[in-house]
Amino acid sequence: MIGEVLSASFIGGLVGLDVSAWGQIMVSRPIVSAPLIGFLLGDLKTGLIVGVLLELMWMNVISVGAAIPPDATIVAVACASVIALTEKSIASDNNFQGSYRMVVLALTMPLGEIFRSVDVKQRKLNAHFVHYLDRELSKGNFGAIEKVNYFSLFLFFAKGFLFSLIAIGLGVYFLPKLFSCLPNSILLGLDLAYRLLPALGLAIAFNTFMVFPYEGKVKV
Amino acid sequence: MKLDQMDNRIIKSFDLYRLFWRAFSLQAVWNFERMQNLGFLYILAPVLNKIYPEREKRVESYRRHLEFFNTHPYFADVVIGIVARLEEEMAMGKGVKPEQITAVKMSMGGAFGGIGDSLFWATWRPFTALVACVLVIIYLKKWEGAWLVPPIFLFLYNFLHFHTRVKGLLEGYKKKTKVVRLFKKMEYSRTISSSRLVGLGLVLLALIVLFLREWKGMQSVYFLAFFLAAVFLNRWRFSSIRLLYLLIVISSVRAYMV
Repeated sequence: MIGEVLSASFIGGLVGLDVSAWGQIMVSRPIVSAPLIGFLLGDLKTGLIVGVLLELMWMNVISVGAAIPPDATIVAVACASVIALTEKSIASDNNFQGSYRMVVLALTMPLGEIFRSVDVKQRKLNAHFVHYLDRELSKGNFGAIEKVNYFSLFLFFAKGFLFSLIAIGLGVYFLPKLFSCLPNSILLGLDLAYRLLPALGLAIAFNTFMVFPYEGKVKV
Repeated sequence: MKLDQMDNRIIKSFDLYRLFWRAFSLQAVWNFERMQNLGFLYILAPVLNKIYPEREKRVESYRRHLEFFNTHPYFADVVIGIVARLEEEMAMGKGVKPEQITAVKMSMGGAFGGIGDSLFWATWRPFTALVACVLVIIYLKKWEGAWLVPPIFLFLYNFLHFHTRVKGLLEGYKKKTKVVRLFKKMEYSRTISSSRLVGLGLVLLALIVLFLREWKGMQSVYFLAFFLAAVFLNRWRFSSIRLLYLLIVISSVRAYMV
């Protein structure tokens, strides 16, 4: 189990780089990262379902100019890992599979906002690199720019890795316990909510593409 | 004009490959003070080292690119191409001034930043992701090829992405600021409006497929009612996470009462 949690976090750190630090080839989107995690942990189809639901729900969250939006990748990685690692142990009764997914989803969604606040702190601290480089240039150390770049990339990776590790670890440990405490009526409600979830995702997607006449241009 | 036919160049094709490769880490040291400045300098560093062998001029050029810079990461390649060419011409004494380079960086960065945000972030990414999602929704139950969906998305999306990068870098280097005309001709606004229309159709298709397949009897009313409620609540700045919690509360209350 520990090995699986570690490798899922490692993948989480890697695809986390793609959000903004390196590339933007979109392996960080939930539709790719969740199935990737699912494939790694031996449950591709669950990963794909989680990926589609999250992708639809985060569709209209975009970064414009210098704004940092909440992070969809960490949610996808944590949610897909926790579900893939613990679902089999909990869903002896297959009826409540959807309820369990709903619990995991509801508790991993806020991670995006928490991750964002850490991200903003890091980007504020990154300004120190500018002044460091300014000093190094006066000494004629031209290689400093490469060092700064690789070091900062490493920091971005480490942040994603540690954050995923904590989130997945806590989730794998506590969520099955929490789930077994829930009363039957809540479970039924969660099951209905899970079946209604695609409607929520499609509503967000609808709003992403629909331009209402009075708005004129895209609202972001 | 082919690259090889341009005379008297210090920057060779190999250097352009390096620029292209390094351009991926444009935002590696993104900071709130000057945004993409360090990434831009990192990308340009090998070229600057090559065209300014003497220390004084090299420090000066490094400092020049330590200034504020921000644009859309894909369109940064255009600006990189233009700036590489201008730096090269300045080093060869063709009458380019340092202020000119800074001005080009600022104006191009701002203009392409706007195009990039509305083309890639607001349209192309949601559109290609939606295509992938709708494929899953329609075929998942009976489809063995589900693993193909992420590669299909990546291929569709990155087709336009890499096209923009490669074309931007090459044409920016060759044509300098005249490259703006080329990007004007590419009619991005048409791509945007048609993607929106097709996207809307796909959403409705997925909605109908789900509705007919998964819902029967009285309960199907919930599905449509919740969809409509979510559309309008989301318009009033109700984010998806709040809608998710609202959904859980409503469903639990209903289950409790029945």
